[in-house]
Amino acid sequence: MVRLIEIQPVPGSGKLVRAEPFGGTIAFRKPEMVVTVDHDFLSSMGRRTDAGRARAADSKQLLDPVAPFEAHLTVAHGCRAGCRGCYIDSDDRDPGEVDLELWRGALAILAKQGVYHVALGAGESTPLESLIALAHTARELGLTPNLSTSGRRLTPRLARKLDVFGRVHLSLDGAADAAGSVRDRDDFSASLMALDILRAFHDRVGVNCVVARTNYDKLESLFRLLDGRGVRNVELLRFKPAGRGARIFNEIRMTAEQGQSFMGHVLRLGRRYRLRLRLDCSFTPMVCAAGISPARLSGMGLAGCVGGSWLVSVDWLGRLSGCSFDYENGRASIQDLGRPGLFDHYLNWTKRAPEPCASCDYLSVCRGGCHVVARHVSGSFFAADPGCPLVRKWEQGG
Amino acid sequence: MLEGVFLKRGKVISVRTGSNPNSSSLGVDVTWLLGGGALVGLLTLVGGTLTRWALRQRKGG
Repeated sequence: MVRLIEIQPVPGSGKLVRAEPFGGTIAFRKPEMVVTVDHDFLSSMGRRTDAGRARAADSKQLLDPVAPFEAHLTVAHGCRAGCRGCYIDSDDRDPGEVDLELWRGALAILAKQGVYHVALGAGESTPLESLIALAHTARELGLTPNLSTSGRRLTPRLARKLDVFGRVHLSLDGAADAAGSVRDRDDFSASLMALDILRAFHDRVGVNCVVARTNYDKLESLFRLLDGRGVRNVELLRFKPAGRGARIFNEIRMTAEQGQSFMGHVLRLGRRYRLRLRLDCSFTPMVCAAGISPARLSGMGLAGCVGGSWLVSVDWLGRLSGCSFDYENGRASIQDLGRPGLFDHYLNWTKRAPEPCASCDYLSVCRGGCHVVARHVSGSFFAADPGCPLVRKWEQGG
Repeated sequence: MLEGVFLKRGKVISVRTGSNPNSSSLGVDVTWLLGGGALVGLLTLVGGTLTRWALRQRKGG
């Protein structure tokens, strides 16, 4: 019998509920969701939550979990594409080989900590077979692996093997009219072929689209294309000033007007083309500015910068960070995961929040937006996100 | 039965649907905002009910 509801046991312990400072977390494989509940909820189910309650006494960040929900692993950065906005600073001299034993060890550490999901990525030189091998290891450890790929090396034979991944998303920043507008590289026809191959062999395929001022007005073409091809899942990512992307950030970041109209624009298109839309954490200020109550936004799990809290990242050098775009403070390695104090600059951001964030109703949801953008523009990790429409309004005296 | 599933105390803090397919940042499903956020209440209600049901099926852990 097909099971319609299936809990994902906590990796490393096999328990159904992960005790948290605020109560507990229950992850489901079917339907795909992560539910967080308070202590009373668990008590009413006869579940002991004493351990979590004890930790709560020391925690002022009540929604910071005991361990990340997910980890982002960039296992190699070899790539010949040379995109001028590459956030991992890919290197064409790197053959893209993956030290499988090293990464299997990293996955074991993540599983032991109780991390639920891992998202795997790499430069284009890396054979997909390596990522597939790591995904199988992740499954054996109780983790759910997901994949983001450019699809350059994809063949039907390989696509059949991607079933080990929970989700596979192809990087595609626009339809034909926006080809190369973000990555400065016109590879639209190859991307389209990869998308068709993925669709033919995998049930859970979507697209990751980086949004910049150069493709903002062309999103409708992409959404129409995806609708026509039966792709229903799209994740929109804000362009970040990381790696080589830092050099062109000011040139192609979304304009103030685009930031202000962003939510209305993408929700309207999502409705028109019946797409399931996901927005990355750095878009949280734009979501908050749409005027929906903070309670509703937190109820659907929206969160701004939860680096080092809900997620961690590990790069091709084995460096551990709170976020894939932030290795500037990075002296930690995967072995350090779980060490207290490692990500205090993230976890304590709201306590040091400047105005207008400090008095903003959305602070606990937004957490100041994207600190990597703030640091690039203003020089301070603890500055307000300059792309936030509410910050802009405040600066203009509104 | 209804009492066991619906009429319990405690709160669902959040329900994050889908899983993140992106290896660089964290994503959230904003499809729930298509109705101006009204669907979020339904989401937490359904998420809480499914959670109670699933936990009741498997004791322990």
